[in-house]
Amino acid sequence: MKLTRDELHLNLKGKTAVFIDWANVYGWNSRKQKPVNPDKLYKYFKSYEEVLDILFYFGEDTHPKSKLFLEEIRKIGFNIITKPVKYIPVNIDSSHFKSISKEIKAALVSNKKLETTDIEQILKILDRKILRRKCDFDIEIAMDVYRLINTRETFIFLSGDGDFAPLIRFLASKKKKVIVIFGEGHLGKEVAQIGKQVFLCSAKNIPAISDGA
Amino acid sequence: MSSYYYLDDPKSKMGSTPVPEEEFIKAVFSIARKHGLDITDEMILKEIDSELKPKRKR
Repeated sequence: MKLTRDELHLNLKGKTAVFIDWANVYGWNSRKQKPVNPDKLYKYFKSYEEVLDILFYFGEDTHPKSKLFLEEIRKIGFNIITKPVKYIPVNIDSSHFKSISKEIKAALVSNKKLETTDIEQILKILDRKILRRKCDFDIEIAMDVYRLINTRETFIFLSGDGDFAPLIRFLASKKKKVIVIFGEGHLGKEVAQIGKQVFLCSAKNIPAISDGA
Repeated sequence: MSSYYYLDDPKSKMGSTPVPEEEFIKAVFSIARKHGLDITDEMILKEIDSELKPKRKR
């Protein structure tokens, strides 16, 4: 499908690499911004002959939907960079939760209305570690930038994350063109303050990448 | 901000919704406040300290 890019044409300089931090992009949805559609996103960047790399960063967890989603992304054509999410234990039976937990356990054991199996089940839940899933791709993105720095002239980042500011400054100091595409309300002030060294583009100005376009 | 918590979300086609760490922490603080608990730096340091203490063997 050939896209018409009359709404916004990115002026690219030479060979170009696109870096998509999907966890950031996924959070752009708002009243002002329709969800970014991965299929449309890929087609949009593919319509630029300068774009050689479209790198998609997102964590994988054990949920079956997670595998399916990444498979779908791979089928679209993206170059996926993934890794398992980290599981961080939060134990409610530790520290200041301990006293609360103890009270609940004592109350449960003395409760004559509950079946023993129910009590055992609840105690089991109380002893269970709650796991929080966490993931980030800063290092992976920085390493890929470093890998491509001598062979690409334009670097496009889909993330308004302020933590990318040093990387953007570094690329600008190497006379590279840097474009940051961000969601409304998701542009870190560190990036916004960089000034002329970076071209900032709100995703709402590229309707071709969003649902409903 | 570039660290993300992946939260269970049946509506998400990815099985989870990634939330920036800053927003996650803000939400936890806000929930605590709504429940009448104003989490202070002192409380956090105490919590971390108690987590770090070696557990006594029973």
